[in-house]
Amino acid sequence: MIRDMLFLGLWGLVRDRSRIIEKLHDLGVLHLREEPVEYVSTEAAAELKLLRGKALGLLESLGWNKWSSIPRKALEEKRSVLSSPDEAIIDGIRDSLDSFSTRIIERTSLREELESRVNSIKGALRTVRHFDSFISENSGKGLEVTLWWVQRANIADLAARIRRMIKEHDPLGSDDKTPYHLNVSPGGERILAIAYPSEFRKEVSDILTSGECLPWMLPGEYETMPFQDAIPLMETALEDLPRRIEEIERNLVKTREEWGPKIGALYVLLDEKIEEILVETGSDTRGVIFRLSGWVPTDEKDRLETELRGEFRERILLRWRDPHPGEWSEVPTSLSNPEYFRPFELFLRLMPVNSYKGLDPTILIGIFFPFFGGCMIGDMGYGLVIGALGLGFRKKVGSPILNDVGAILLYIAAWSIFWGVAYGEAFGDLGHRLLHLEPLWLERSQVVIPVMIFTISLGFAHVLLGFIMGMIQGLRTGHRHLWLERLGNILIFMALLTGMILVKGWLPGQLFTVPVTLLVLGLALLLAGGGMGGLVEALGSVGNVLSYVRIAAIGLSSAILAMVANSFVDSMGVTFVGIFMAMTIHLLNFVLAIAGSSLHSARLQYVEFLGKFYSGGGTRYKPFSRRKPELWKKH
Amino acid sequence: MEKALIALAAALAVGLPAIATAYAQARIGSVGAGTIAEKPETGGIIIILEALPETMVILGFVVAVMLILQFA
Repeated sequence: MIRDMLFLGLWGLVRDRSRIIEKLHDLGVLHLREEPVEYVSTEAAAELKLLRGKALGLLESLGWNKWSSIPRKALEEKRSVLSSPDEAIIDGIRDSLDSFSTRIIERTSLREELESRVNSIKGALRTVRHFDSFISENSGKGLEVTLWWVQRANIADLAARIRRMIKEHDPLGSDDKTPYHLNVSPGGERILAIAYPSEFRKEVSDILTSGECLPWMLPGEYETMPFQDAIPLMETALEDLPRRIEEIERNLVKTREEWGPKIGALYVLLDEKIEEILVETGSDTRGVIFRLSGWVPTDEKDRLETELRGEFRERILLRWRDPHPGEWSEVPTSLSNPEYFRPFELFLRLMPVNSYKGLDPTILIGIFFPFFGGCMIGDMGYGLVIGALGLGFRKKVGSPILNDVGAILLYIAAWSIFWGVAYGEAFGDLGHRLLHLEPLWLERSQVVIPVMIFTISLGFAHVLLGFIMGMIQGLRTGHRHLWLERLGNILIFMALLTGMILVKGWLPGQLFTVPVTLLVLGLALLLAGGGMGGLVEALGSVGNVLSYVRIAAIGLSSAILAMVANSFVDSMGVTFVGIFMAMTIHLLNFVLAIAGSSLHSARLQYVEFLGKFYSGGGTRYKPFSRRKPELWKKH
Repeated sequence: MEKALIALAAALAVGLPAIATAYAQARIGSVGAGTIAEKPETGGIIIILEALPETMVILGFVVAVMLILQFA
């Protein structure tokens, strides 16, 4: 059901404005005619926005997002502090946030720096260890060993130039005074280790640099050390640094757990206050009087009036009126359905918002969706498993969507069991084999046509109901074309029905004028309402009815797949492999049954049923209220 | 032989629309996923669009059942 709305015009004294807006925020029922616009910056809100940004930045630095863990009581207690924030409070919050932020940044920077050091030491050790034997061998000969990044391939040429240079300076020296070793890592990185007499350090460096080589250095504090001395020190650092990182990490986790909810609460309160300020500045103010207006559900009128009168007595003026037809497009739509059907409002969240004067199909979806789904699954065993799954979802506290899905699964499970009894199926024919279950109606895997006829009849009734809803919708909104067209369709459907009854001989043949009259009348109305387009749509409606055969088709495939699963035990015997294969196919069938039945049942609602009357074009009811902490993460 | 041909006809009646449906749904699905990512409120419409081509298979199934019942 769509809740009736009243238009509220509220006048009050400017000096009471903050308190009145705060009260409205607490009551959370007024859908403001003009929503507070965030980008309209006011001086008062600017400071708070800055603080809110800082708080959010801190939460992101801490990696905290457990909004539902904010204690509601703490929120209520701290709300009064921010109720009228003066300069001292804002300064205090800013200083605290800044100092906290500095400490967090210091710790996270230190952690990143240490991680970077660990990585560079690991990389350096890997490289140095690769050249370990080369370095020790040549250092033992009194040669100096250096490492170089090599970009070009011509190492032999560079080595030859170095040898020539050494030969020129020392013609009697040995030729093997410039041994070198090249390492190419899997990533393509090329590092050259070269040994030479230390007196030629500068010349060797010049030649290698001219050959586009870059000196490879040990990281940071080990840069100037000989390789052999640096290795044990780097190994010690590799044991020490992870411990320090872990300690910082522990500290950050502790800070996150302790301070996350507090800063989260601060963020929520700042956001609420900013919203109030924006509403305040957006109100229509003239002299000492201000005005706010919006929509309130009729069932909330008394509570709102009592609460406001109780606090502000004669200092407030409230004017109520019903929306007039010209306003229907801007009146917000709020649904209110009985407990059983409320989970099915989920289906409408995937559709454009219903218009205020539209018809709420939630109850009908609540009846037909699980009915169709259950008819497709039609298995007691699967029904029980779906029921268990539904209960599991229901117990998942804190997730309203999962809760709704759980409820919907429970209803599907109930109908699956019902249809399972009618078809005599429990995990396919396992119930029949073990417990001698017999179908109460028919065995759908053997008798296809009656199930197909039944599903087409269901479709006929469902589509007809859609047309009736469309006609009511047209009458309610005064759309003559809509109700004429829908009425035309209804008459054509009735003509088809009576025609078929006559063909079957269930009515005397003299009554053949009834379907003909209905058909002619229906066509006339259809043309008057929808023109040629209406005629085409009427033909499409016949296709819509045939579309319900899917209930029989999917049910049949599910039943046969379940039987195939059980037949593995027949062919392989009661062995591990046989039972394993049977259970695997049953699992596959179960997943297909849930996915297929839900999707196809939803499609029948969306396309075949809602398409006949649901138009959307409404505005979602968004009361000016304090949102629940778990919703802030979406903000 | 005749039964085999009828079975083949029934298989084609379901199989060919199934291939066509799969092709159509693949195209609609990939585009629809992108649309929902940008505008989650279009979810219902995308489900409708995604489900529309399935009617082909359902009608194919009806034809297949009729073929088998009528001739086999």
